[in-house]
Amino acid sequence: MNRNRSRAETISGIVILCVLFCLGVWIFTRAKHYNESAWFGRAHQTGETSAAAEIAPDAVELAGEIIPEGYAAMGDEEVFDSETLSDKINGKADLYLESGFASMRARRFFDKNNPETWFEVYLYNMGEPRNALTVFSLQRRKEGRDAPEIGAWAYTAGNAIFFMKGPWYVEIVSSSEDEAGASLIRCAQSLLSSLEGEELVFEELNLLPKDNMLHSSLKYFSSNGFGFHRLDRILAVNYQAGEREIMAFVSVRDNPEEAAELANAYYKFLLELGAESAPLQDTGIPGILSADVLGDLEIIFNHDRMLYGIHAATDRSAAVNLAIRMLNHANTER
Amino acid sequence: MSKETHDKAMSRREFMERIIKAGITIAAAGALGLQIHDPHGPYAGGASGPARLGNYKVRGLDERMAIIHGSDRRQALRRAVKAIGGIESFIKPSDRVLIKVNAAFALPAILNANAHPDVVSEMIRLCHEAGAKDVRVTDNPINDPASCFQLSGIKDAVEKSGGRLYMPRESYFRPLTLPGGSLIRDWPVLYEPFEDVTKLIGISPVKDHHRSGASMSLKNWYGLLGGRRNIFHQDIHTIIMELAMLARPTFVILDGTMTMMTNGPTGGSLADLKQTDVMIASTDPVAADAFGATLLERPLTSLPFIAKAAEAGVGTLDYESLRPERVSLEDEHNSTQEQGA
Repeated sequence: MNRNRSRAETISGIVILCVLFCLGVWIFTRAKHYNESAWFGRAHQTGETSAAAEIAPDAVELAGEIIPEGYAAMGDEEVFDSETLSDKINGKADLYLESGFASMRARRFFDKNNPETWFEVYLYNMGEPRNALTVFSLQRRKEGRDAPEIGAWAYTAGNAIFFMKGPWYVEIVSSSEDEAGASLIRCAQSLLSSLEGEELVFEELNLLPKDNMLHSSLKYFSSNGFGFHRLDRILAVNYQAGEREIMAFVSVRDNPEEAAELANAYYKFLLELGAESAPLQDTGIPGILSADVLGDLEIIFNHDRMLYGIHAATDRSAAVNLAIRMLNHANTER
Repeated sequence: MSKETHDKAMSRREFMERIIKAGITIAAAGALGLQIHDPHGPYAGGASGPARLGNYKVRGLDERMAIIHGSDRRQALRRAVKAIGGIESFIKPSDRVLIKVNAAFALPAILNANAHPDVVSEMIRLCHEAGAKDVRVTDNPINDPASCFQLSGIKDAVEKSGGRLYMPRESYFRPLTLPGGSLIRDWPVLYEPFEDVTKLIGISPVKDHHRSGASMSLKNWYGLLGGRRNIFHQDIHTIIMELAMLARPTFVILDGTMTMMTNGPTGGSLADLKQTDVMIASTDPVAADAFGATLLERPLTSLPFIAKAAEAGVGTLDYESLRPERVSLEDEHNSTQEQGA
């Protein structure tokens, strides 16, 4: 360009470049001071619905037939995903997230004749039946009463009903101090029938002796059993031994080598935690390992591809007897 | 563009036209910027200025603690406050009091997941009886705040006893840094209810907590945090310790009338609760929690945040060193009746 620039043009150009430079510095500074805390899940403060509303399209809607007669919905259904679950149940979310949680729906219903009385339904999609069993069994209340009128995997505990079917785990919690009544049971039955999922068949139970087994104490650890990250797919159940209860566990591994290796790894884990080796004599159980954990006895052994054990037993001789029974049962089952 | 055009000198008129067009463009860009400008910046819109929570302890008063046995929450609370010196020792007529309750969940009072409304209302009455100018109640719940305060019965309790409920809004939060803290750095804290406050009281239930092991007096301050506070779950014991350093209350009330033994912090079933019939008042929240651990039947080693808070100088693990006054409401009642007879 041959013509000379005017002074005004030069000044205008410099001003525009300065403005652009300032804008750039401002944007850079703001980006540099990005504050994670400012971008929190504000859903509950603004009334926004979680993005999780779009997930779990297979979930049954908490409406229609599941609402007992005389009750009405108290508000909209809430939907939570793994990002937002703790906005509903806070610290308890960890248990679900570690167990394969997919989504959760919740809704409250109130008694039209007595609006002070209401109940809330929590419908968890745990992805697969064994994950549902994990959260069902690990939270099972000791005082809970089996509720066969609802289902095989169901119990009531005071004001609440808990059950599972297929990948679904359900809690129905009432605001009333009364025992869960007919309305809640009807809601549970209706919800159960509308949920798709196979009844859980738990073949591992057959790997343990039946006598004195306390079925309601059954626990399933899909991961991190007894605090050891490698101990997954563990079925644990208590046995009555006189006045005391003893917990036995079993896990089916892929092959005998893996079962033996896992038994050794768990034993080493206990020793690293400060447990002391506590050798047992004349049990007749090949490769048995045992450790004293702060006065409690831990027994581990494998039989074929099954990993067996006794956890935190306070009665040593009863624990050893149960371990021998477990091995004899395993031999019989073969 | 042709060579001719290049060579042609720009006329004054043409220059003015270009200047006007450029001006309009800049003005439009500025107007658009103004339209989308967030005057509050990325700090969730709080008021300006540094926030401080500070120390609300009564100067010159030694640490005190009371352990009251009884099932009537109102009576037990009154007796507990009397045992640590009476409400007049703490609240003066000119005081503005903030009661930080645990109202985390939209659950009914019977589940013991929140501060009990009877305790909240009775504490408000006590403060008014001492002549407090203003009694405020607040929390930043986990669930929807309106539902939490309504369904827990706390909203009703506050309104009927003459308190003022501060439900959290974005504008109530201010960024705050705990000097020497590793987690609370430039983090939004529920500050507005603290404006002009002269006394701070904490009220919380005794609960199991899946992540921290327990939720009692110290964990109650977690409800002052805004932002994506769930990220602190990764270092829960440190954040509870830092919160304990941040807010030094006048005293705390730890309600162990019912204790949530399992499936905390939400529970869900009455079967998660155990009737323990204890009300604790303490100027030392660490001591209160150390005693609370006994109600949960947990060793202190399983609740590291209590020892951490003690190490940080917030209080003592040895609650017996405070020589807590122990009273059984039933025994006291029987004794009074015998004297009357």
